[in-house]
Amino acid sequence: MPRLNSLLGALAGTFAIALLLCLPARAELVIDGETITDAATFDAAKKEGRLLLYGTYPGDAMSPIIAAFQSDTGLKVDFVRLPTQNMFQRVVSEFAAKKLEADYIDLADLTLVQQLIDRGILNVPHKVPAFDRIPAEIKNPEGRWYGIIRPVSVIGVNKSRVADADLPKSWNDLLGSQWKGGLIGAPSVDAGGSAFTMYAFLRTKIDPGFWKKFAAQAPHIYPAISPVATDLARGEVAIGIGALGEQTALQIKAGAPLTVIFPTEGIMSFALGGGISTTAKNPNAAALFLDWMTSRRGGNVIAAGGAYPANATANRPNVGGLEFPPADQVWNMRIEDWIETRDAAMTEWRQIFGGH
Amino acid sequence: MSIEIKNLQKSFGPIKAINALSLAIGEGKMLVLLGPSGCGKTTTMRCIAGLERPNSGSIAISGKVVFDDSKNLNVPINRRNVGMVFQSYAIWPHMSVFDNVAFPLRVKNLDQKEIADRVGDILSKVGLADFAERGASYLSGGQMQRVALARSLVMRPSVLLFDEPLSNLDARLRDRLRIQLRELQTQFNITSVYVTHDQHEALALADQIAVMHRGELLQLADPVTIYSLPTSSTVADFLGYSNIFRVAERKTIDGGDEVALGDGRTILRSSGGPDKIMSDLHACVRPEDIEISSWLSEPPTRPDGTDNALVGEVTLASFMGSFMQYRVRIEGGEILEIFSRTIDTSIKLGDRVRLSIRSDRIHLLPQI
Amino acid sequence: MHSSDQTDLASAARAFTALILFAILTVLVVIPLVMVGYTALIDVVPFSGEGPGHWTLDNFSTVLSPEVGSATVNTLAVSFVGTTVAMILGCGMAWLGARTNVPGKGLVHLSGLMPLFVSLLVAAVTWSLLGAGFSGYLNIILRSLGIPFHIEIRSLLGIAVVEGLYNAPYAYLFIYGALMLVHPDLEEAAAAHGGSLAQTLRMISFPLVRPALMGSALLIFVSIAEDFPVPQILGGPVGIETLSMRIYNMMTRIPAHPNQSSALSVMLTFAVWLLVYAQRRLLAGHDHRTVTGKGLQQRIIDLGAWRWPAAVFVWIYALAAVGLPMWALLESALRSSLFIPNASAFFDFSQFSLHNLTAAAQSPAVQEGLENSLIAATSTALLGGALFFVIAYVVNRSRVPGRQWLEYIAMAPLALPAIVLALGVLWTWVGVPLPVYGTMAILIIAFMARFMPQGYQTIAGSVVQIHDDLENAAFLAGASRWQTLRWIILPLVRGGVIASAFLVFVLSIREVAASLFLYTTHTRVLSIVLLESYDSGLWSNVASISLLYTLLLIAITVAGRRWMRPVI
Repeated sequence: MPRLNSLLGALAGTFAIALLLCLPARAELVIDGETITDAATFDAAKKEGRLLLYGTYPGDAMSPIIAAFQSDTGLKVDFVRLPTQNMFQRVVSEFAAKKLEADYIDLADLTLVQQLIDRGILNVPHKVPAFDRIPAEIKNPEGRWYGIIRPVSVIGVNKSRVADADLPKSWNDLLGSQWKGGLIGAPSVDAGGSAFTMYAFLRTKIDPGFWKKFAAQAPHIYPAISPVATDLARGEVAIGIGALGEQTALQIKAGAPLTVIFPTEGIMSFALGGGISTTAKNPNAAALFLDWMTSRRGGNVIAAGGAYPANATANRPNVGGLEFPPADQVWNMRIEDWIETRDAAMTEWRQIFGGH
Repeated sequence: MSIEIKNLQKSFGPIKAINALSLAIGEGKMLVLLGPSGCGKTTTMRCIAGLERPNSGSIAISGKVVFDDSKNLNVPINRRNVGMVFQSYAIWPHMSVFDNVAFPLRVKNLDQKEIADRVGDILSKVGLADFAERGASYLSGGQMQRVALARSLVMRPSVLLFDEPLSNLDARLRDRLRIQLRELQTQFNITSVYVTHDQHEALALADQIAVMHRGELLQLADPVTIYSLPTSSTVADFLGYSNIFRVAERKTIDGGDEVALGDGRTILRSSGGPDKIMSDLHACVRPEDIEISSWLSEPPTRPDGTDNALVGEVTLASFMGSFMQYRVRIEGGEILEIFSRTIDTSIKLGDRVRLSIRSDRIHLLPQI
Repeated sequence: MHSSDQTDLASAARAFTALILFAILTVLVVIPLVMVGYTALIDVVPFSGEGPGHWTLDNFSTVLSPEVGSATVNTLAVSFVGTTVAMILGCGMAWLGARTNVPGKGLVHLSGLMPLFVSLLVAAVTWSLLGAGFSGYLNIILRSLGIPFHIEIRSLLGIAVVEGLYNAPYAYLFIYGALMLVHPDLEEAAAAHGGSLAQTLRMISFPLVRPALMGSALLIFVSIAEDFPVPQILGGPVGIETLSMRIYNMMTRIPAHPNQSSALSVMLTFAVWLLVYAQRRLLAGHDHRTVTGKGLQQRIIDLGAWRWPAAVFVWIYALAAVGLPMWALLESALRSSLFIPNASAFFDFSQFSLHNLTAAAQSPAVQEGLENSLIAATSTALLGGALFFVIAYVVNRSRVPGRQWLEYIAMAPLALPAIVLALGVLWTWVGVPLPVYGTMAILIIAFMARFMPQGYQTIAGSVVQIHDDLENAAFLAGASRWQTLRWIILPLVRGGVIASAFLVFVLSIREVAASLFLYTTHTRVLSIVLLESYDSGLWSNVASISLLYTLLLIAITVAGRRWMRPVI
């Protein structure tokens, strides 16, 4: 009977192999040779199937990012967007009422992110695969939040009002007397994280007296960054400063006589800090999202929209042919500095710029 | 008695609008509440209708008590079966004449045929048969008033109330409509209460007149009695006794009294005075009870020596069509008003004239 | 039934009605107000998990800073000038439309109402496009024509004028309705006694419609004082701050001061209550009831040589309020670039494309936003219409105890900036275990409270003008209160009720601020979708959605203008 035994053995073996082949393959998510996330997370996330994002990045800038994520992972994404302060209020209220259903939350103000952590709303430690390729200032040591999108502040110029020879090349150039009297548009420090970091950068890295000198130029101060970009495009102001790169690039594409200038002293970014919500219904999907956003692949998508990603190895932002400086030349504000200096700095700014 | 009001009190805040009023009206009779503005006549009527709630007292209509505060009883407006014609007519402008008049019947859910019959019948009786489909806001004042009347009549009310319904109409229309109102009221034999400040209307319409003043009833009597025998100078004043003078001194004489008016210069003899002694008497004379003749003509004949003869100067001579109106200042200083059926155009402004008043035409009345 | 039971039943019915109405109003208005007041007196945000906090009065003193002082001055300036502009425009149009033989009455009626339907956010945005000091379209045209004059709409005066332009319809609605109900004899008497047209207007017509005048002036004043989008967009960039901006900024800036913001709101609310109280005292004791059932055929005044100038006045207003903004939106939506070098570029059609418009119309967010807006607006209009009518009737026509307070509560939301009301509503419902928060229901609740003053005032104006006798005559004829309501009162106020429901419908569609903290992804209304585009600075999107939004509103107005004529 040895021939029957080996036949049975062969049958059993074939059967086992067939069984194995029929089982669903548990695979990681790999794109362009990069492992975005491990198999367990990917599997669990796919089972969850959907993701609810509470974010502050403008909807139209977020859309291509979400689209790429959806097509890469097959998950369905719902995006709720609110300005940072409104988002903070809403998240806190919903949490207190035990109705917070967001899986992922981000805010454009790291002090508020810290508050969310202190209140136990954003407090899920998660080490993304790309953890070591993310600079220290833009992540939480345990991975509770990451600075996943980092728009930068630049100088924008409307060339119908400024001759080529007069184009400013540095932040200091803006203090020249030819720009006095409402020719420059700038956001108020209350416009949010982007404006705050820009002003902090100007004072810290350029000139301690920058604010007073800039205020003496009598710039148009706007309550938010979008109106600055709009007025720049229309030619209402000749120069605009702030996180208006992406809007300006769109206008350039549409034919407006605008140009973006990266000042010689360097530029600064501010981080949208995002993390997994402690009340997430789809925590694995949220983890997958973080993994993807901090990966090189996700970073490239973000960069294509004009902001720096978290991942240092991803492309530099490039919008409409305009290439941004390398990531290591971008100044970031540390969360500790932010928390420590913010209130006093904002009060001082308001005093200097007269109640805006 | 078809309406019985007992001891009615109604105040609006500190103001006493009705003060201990008691009245009764017989079945099918027309009672007119007469008095100046603010005397409480409209308030009384609204209490009967249920539009105001009195503070105390009782009201009964056709034997059924509709209000009695001691029993906490107050029948709501829409259950009293009381009709009312408003001064503003209150015709519903968004409905036709027919719909306005049919409303009380529709509310009772009567069938279409019966409604059409009764409405048609009433409209003919008020002379508006051809107006049934007319929109209510396209009517003249007189027509609207008749629609209002028809609307009340069609519901066969126990009581019909009239709140100065003719005051917004011109004089001729007022007369015509007044006659028509009275005709219909007697024809239908509906107990009615009519409020007015116009004494002519009151006298012409009423079976009984209640003269009111400051929330109180001064006199309740039939028109003739009230007109010829007012019980106070206030009532007399309201009934057209335009000559009312305060009596300063009163002396009893043979056949009556001799009174001195005002500052004492005019002395009159009157046989129409009260028996007992009263303090605030007034001498009251109707203007048509004074005879006037020019100074130069024959003095008027003197029956029985009971005349009062006065002399004065004409301050007003007005031709009123069917009579002359004169105002004469007599020697004592008082100004008398005279209506004379004799059209004597020779008596002119400024003339000296003789006046004669029979002593039984001088009423000595207390003020209240 | 025992007759004596009648009295008890009647008072029981009255008490019951009072109870129900007070309960509804409490939930809709009082509790959110209380939540705001409570927040003003503590030092933490309610329901934020920070614990109960401590009682304090500090918020009231810290909020009184120099910024608040200048914000108050700005607010008052803008409100007074804006109200004046609105009243002149609105009353002028109302009188022309109701009483004269001005040519093109249809356009008058439309113009009187249409600006209501341009959302203030859109209006501010388009006037910013039209009137910015350098690059505004009108200034580009002026420059091209060589005229050495430019307008700067981004100024106190500019804000006031824009506010006046778009609040004029309130005055128009009120005054038009009131003029239609005034007895023509009253004006004819003036003319017969030698009054010229101007004198009759000044001394007879307008004093007679005084409740409508005062009602609309008050409404407009407060609406301008608490408005947010116009000063934010036209004043923000030039450093002008109004009280509403201050409150909003205190709520939304980092760090936020919700407690101080609430304190300021409480003070504002109190100020407006005083205004309302004063208005009632002023109007008490005057009999403005001129609908007496005596028939009202309105008298048409012949303007003679003034016909055409009057028509031109109307056309210029329509142009300014609707025509120019629509043109600006078209330019902005059809071009991809914001930059306009000179006037001839306006007509450079090679730059035009329908791409933005079609993308916007087909976007799922826009379609969902539209659907939600219609649902919210219809529900608010229907529920609100019924509720406001009942309140107006009870306040003005019944003996329900405490009915004056119903009116005070109904008018209270006037003083509450929409954003604070939204917060109050949020804090009221977020902790309640009913499926309200996160659904359309909470939006409808917020809208009903937000528009209660306008809806209520419109109906109350009609109810008040109906003479008591018309109702009493029905009672005497045997009708119950219900029958009288149905057959007499409702037909007579039908115009007012429909006008009110329509007004509420349109206001709901264009509302922005009241939705702000209350929406979730799938309950976004169209105005929120628009605002989000604005925040992102995507002008072609903003313009496209605004265009679609405005076209929708215009379509509604044109369809509904028949309902705006009161039925008498």
